[in-house]
Amino acid sequence: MGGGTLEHFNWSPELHLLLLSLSLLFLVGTAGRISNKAAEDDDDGGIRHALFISGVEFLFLVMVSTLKPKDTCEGEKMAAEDRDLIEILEEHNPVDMAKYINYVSAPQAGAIATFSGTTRDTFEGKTVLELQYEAYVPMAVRCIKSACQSARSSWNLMSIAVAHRLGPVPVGETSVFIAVSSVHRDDALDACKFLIDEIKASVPIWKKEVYTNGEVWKENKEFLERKSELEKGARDENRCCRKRLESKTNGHGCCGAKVKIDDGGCNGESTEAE
Amino acid sequence: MDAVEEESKCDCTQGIPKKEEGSSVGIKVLFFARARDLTGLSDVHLEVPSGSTASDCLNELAVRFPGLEEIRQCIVLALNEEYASETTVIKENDELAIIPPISGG
Repeated sequence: MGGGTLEHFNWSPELHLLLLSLSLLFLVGTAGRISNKAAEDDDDGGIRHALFISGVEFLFLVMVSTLKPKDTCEGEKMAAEDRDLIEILEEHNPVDMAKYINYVSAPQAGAIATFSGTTRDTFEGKTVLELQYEAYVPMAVRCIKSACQSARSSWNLMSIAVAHRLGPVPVGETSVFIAVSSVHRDDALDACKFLIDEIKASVPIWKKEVYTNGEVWKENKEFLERKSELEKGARDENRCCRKRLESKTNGHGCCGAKVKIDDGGCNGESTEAE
Repeated sequence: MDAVEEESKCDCTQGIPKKEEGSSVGIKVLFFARARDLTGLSDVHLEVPSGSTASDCLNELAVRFPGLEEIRQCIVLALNEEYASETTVIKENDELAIIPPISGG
């Protein structure tokens, strides 16, 4: 997004003051010159002329003084809203955490809070080889944007960066990364937690846990808590995400047999989300 | 008689053929994760009667892909990239996504 058009021209307070000062000087100077000349020539018409010129310049002064500096609050707000970087990374593209930290950094930011979700090596005693991610990408981006908007409505934030990998993510590597900057740390820390919670509750991304003897699609308990709201279509807020309400979960998966375990049997084990 | 027949064939004010009552709408259905495993497809074209709801589409899909019954109670639906209820009426060229329990992050 660039400037260059008049509506984006920034009438800074300094420019505003300079214009007023110049107008005032011109007003006084011109009126004075004409008046002196008129007095020398003993010319009533000249004095009226001087008054006329003064009047015109006064009007000009009034017009200039009504030019307000561009609403910097709105400009800053627009800039802040634009500083949401959301990336869904194609397979085999690791997360470059420095890039996102750099994106959210700013001289005014006293705090940068980050969250990195990494693949761990075990789940309920089973050895995890890797996680495999897929996403409904356009909707995932839309939902993450919505989560960022929700975060901004709740906390005073500067910039937000969210990245999520697709494809295989081996043990120890980062699958999701969030960076949030703010002036004071409470906002960044709270917003960061909110964002990962929202991603887990409502963003259409799925992971398959791959073990040595099988694989299973995981289910986030945050989604199971949120499901009844999502089923209504969230029309009243017209967005995927909103501030999560406190609610209990029974912690059980929603579906029946969904585990493919190659141990020679038909194992209807139902796995739960972490 | 002739006038009525003409009306049903053509919206004469716009000069374009008008679909007859009871005609179908065509949508694209997307399958993700477990749903894709069960259907063997990432997406499918579906024709349903005009005025059908998302629930009607699910019923039609369950007939074509019986395996989907396993997750029928678990899924949520998205219409044109927004979560939608099963009572939502489907329109021509809508994109319906079958969303099993998510697990991002």
